[in-house]
Amino acid sequence: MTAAPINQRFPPPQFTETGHQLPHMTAPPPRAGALDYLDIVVLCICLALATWLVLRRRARREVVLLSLFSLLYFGFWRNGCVCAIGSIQNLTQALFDSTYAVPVTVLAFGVLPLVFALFFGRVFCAAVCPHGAFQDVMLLKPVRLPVWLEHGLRLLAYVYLGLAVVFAATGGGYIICRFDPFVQIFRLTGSLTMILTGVIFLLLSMFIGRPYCRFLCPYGVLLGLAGSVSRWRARITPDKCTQCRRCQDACPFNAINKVTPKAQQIDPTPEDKRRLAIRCALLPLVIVSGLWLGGLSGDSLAKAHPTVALAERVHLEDAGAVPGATDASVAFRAEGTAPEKLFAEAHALVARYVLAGRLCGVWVGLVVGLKLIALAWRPRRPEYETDAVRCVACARCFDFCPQEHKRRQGKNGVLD
Amino acid sequence: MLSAAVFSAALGGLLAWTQAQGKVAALVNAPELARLHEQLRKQPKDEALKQQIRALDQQLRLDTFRRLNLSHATARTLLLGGLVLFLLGAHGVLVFRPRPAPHLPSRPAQHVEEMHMRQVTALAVVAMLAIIVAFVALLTRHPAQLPAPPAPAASAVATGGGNPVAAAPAFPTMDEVRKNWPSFRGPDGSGVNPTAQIPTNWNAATGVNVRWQSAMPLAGMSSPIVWGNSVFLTGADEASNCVFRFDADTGKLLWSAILKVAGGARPAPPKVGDDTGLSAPTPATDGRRVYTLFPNGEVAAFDLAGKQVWARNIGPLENNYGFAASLALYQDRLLIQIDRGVVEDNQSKLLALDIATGKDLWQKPRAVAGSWSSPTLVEVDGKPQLLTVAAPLLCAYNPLDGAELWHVGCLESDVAPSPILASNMIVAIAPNTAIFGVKPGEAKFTWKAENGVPDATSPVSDGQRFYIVDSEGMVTCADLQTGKARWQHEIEDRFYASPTIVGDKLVLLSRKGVAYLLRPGDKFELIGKGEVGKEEECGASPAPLGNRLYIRGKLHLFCIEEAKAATAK
Repeated sequence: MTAAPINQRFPPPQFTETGHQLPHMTAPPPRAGALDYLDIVVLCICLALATWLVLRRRARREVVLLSLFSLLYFGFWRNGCVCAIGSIQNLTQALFDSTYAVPVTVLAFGVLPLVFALFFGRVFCAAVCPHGAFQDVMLLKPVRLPVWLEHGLRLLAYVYLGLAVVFAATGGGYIICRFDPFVQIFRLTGSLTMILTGVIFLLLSMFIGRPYCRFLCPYGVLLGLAGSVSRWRARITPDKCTQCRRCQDACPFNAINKVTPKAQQIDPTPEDKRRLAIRCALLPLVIVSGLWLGGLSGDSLAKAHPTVALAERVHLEDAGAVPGATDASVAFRAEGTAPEKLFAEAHALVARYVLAGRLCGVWVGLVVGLKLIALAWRPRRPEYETDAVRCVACARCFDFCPQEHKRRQGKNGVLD
Repeated sequence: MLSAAVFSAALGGLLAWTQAQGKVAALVNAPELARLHEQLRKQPKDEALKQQIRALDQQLRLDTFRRLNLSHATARTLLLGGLVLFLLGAHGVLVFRPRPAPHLPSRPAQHVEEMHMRQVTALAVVAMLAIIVAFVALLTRHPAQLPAPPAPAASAVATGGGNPVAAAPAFPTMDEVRKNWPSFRGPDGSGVNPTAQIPTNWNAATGVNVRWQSAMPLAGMSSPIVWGNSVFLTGADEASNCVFRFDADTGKLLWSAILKVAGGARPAPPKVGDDTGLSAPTPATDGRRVYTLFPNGEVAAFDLAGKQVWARNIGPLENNYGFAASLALYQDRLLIQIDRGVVEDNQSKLLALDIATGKDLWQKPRAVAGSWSSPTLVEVDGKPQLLTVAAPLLCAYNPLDGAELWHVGCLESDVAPSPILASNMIVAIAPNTAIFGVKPGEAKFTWKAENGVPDATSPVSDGQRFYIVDSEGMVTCADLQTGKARWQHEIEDRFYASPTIVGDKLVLLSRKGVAYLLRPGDKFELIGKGEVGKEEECGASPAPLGNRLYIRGKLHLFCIEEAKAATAK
């Protein structure tokens, strides 16, 4: 895979009178179709196994082993593609582009983890996602981030999801794949910038648990939303919580919500009600602001589309505002198409981006508004529990729960 | 563990270095190879040189391949192996350490007030939202630069935000013209917009009452003109003459176009002083097209999408200090006052071009010396007159056919201020010498005044008095019918922009970017100040329309509007 691009990048030797024969370019053969179905089978097995290990076996060590397998198979062996995270874009494009058909592998990778999350929580993140597994094996000395910072940074993932959908729906490209920090490491080749980005993420992962999953992963947002309604997701303790707080100490992802002290388990105060009312009233305002801001940004986002970029380049060249010409503009002029046609197409695309930008703004506004409303609630938790959205079902907390140890003792007669 | 980490880090660094060094671009752009190629172009038959190039080419290729081989799979596998060893060691030390005994007593949690923590978290969410909003704001500063989309009706433009006019006539009515600011100092060249309303203070640094500010793509001394929702400006440098269209609501640069005259090399721009620059003439628009003139003699029309309709060269416009006369429009005529040299040179003329084609309609010789003033189109007794000033004449023409209607020989020296008509009195200025009051059609001036005579700026009148400011900051108010001074006041500043009356305010815009707002009247009364920054070195006259004032600085175009009015919209 790596030799061909290097050869193609090389200029041919000069002085053709030497009789030098250019080597025949070869392209790697396409992957056998049957292997795609094998991927789906492996995915299903891994998801089922992860569910069983997390929910029934409650065994961290086996979960780690499975995640190592996923890292090797879906990551280094399958080169990180197809991946569930990027499949969001294929599914979005299929919704907006009637000429695009989603490959069945992509469909499976996009939908199956979500279906599992709907019933069993984020078991895909626990042991099947190679991105998560890679960061998890790098985690050595976790540093606990303040909760406020955790919530603030998590907003980025929602924005990233919105932008990814905007670009995929408008033909602007697959930004999740383009800026995937790990896929180039899985492939052991790629642009130096993205490899270094991946290395930075891995170095961060040594101290901050799964930074990409927590603060950027757009698929994690969807899995979190699906997992929040799951009935059988991972629970910390198999019995009554002793409130020892060890699970919270053990979780490097801030995904365990602490118990509400009895003194604070009170009915909402007038202040609470007033705060809640204000934030509910603010929700439409935040959404409308998002609509407005998103519309404003559409014009700039449109530059990501190759047609708009070409139209801009041609216009600036015609106006003498930029020197020289690019390969794309030279090719366009050689094609003989009227620039007006290109400009009209670009204007139509810009209008589409403005609409998409508005919808993205509404999405972000809705997320922020609802988050603020949720933070206005006075919680009432009788025991420590996993956060339905944030918990990646890594099974770390099980090993630290005294009740879990009692269970294992009762079952096996000895401590694990 | 440590040795594995050091090994991985060293190997990773080496791979990154070879990756950077092994770029093919390094081979293609090798300076020594380029030098030899250049030499071969001069000596194409030099066989020894060819051999030298071949040898160097081969050497460079070998080097590049050697580096690429270093980063081949073996090295990367080694790196991965080192990483795995490191992780195994690190996990062995840090992760698989003894676990807490399950029978330890529970530790009491140290609870903080949950709602307090939640409010801090909400603040963090809002802060992140603010960062995202700031990012979006930055993003919107770089929109896609495309030509404006074609209007539904080819030659129509929205007027004052209204709907495009289908099948618009070839030129606008006077009522339509008066609703806009289509040329230098407004529809009648008086520098007065009685209905416009602007705030009494603004500040570009803080953003107070500044609706928007946009970077100027090119510098120029020409003034902004406004038609409906569009602001047009020109700019030039040694390489090109440009026209720009901005969105009046947002300040977005809708398009920029470079003037290109077919069939000939672009005339070199004349040598001009810095105070005049290469695009001193203000453009004009009729809402169908925008017309531009530059000192190298290039004149052109652009449609509202930025497409050049016609362009031609009307000959050299060499003039001391640089050419500065702005364009005037009357019906389907583009009127250009070209005054050059001394009277005896017979080089001065008044030229009318067809706005649709740019072809000459008529031209009239003028027995005047070089000037820097602009023609002023006024209405006297219901009929149009084009007022021009240049030593020694104040001369009126019929803009339809160029026939001279009347003249008064009273001017001298290098005339730069343009004439105005107010309350049936024309005010014409002989710089540093005298100001003359002339009734239209009369053969001699009515009055002559010698107080505060400006050198570059034009006068402005509120109908009872006229106001002048010279470049050194001396402001003079005098009676319009007698020329007698009412008051004088010195401002510690310099002025190149002509004074403008906006509603009930007299605006004096200084070189330091400070607008002094006075109340027109029989006494000096400063009612406010606006600032756009001294680095802007304002020299162009501002353009008021509606609730806004457009100010061109050296670096930016500003839209001034009362914040409340902007919010209400």
